[in-house]
Amino acid sequence: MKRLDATIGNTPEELAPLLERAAAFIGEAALSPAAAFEAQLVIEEAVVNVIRYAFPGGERHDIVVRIEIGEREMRIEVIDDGVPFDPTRVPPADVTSPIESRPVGGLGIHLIRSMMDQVGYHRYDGHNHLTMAKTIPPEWRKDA
Amino acid sequence: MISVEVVSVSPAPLARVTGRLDAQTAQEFQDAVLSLVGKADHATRLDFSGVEYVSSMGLRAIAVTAKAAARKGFSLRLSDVRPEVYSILRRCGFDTFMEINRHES
Repeated sequence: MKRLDATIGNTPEELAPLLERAAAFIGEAALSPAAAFEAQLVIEEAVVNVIRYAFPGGERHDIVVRIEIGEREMRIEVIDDGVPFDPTRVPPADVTSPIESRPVGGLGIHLIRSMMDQVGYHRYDGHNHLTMAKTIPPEWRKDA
Repeated sequence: MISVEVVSVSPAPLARVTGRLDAQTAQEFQDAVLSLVGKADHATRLDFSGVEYVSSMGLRAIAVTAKAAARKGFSLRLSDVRPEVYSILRRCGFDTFMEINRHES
């Protein structure tokens, strides 16, 4: 099992370096750019939600992102001590209405759900824990 | 980083988009494309061959600009979209309200 633990502050400027670090880690773990693309996307969606909504007072907090790559599974966990928020309870996004009546936002959780096999949430010791897991498809292996 | 290079305004509005369309760049993309749509009077095409990544904030910006085009009576089209980005657009149903042409390698 390979593991990356990264901690950033709750500011948008810290997101891009985190995503670069995640992509480099996934490449070092012998997974393809497609794996890095999906991991970056779900991390961005989760972390942007935390930055925008978890700390209404605007104070500085840490966000921890953990990536674990095992033989069969990639697992990503995002941990913050902001206001309790369970993304798994968000209603499904509207992805079928005509453009004139379709809401323009709210697709972040939809993307996480559609790309990952499992999405879980728990609140523990004052922290939100969002876990996202996906079985590694054969085409993600660099030696495939 | 995102770049929106306007290639033509009339008679066939076209802009070439390059970079990552994410939380940091979505507003810049949206402002540039809204400006082009505001000047255009025909279907507006965005060459997406240089777009390597799109997140939900980027999708939001695309939807805002597509709505603006629809209000003017024409459409926004994406051409030469990379497979990974095409997959994201399809997952979110964008192919149901706009023409999206996938890059053929």
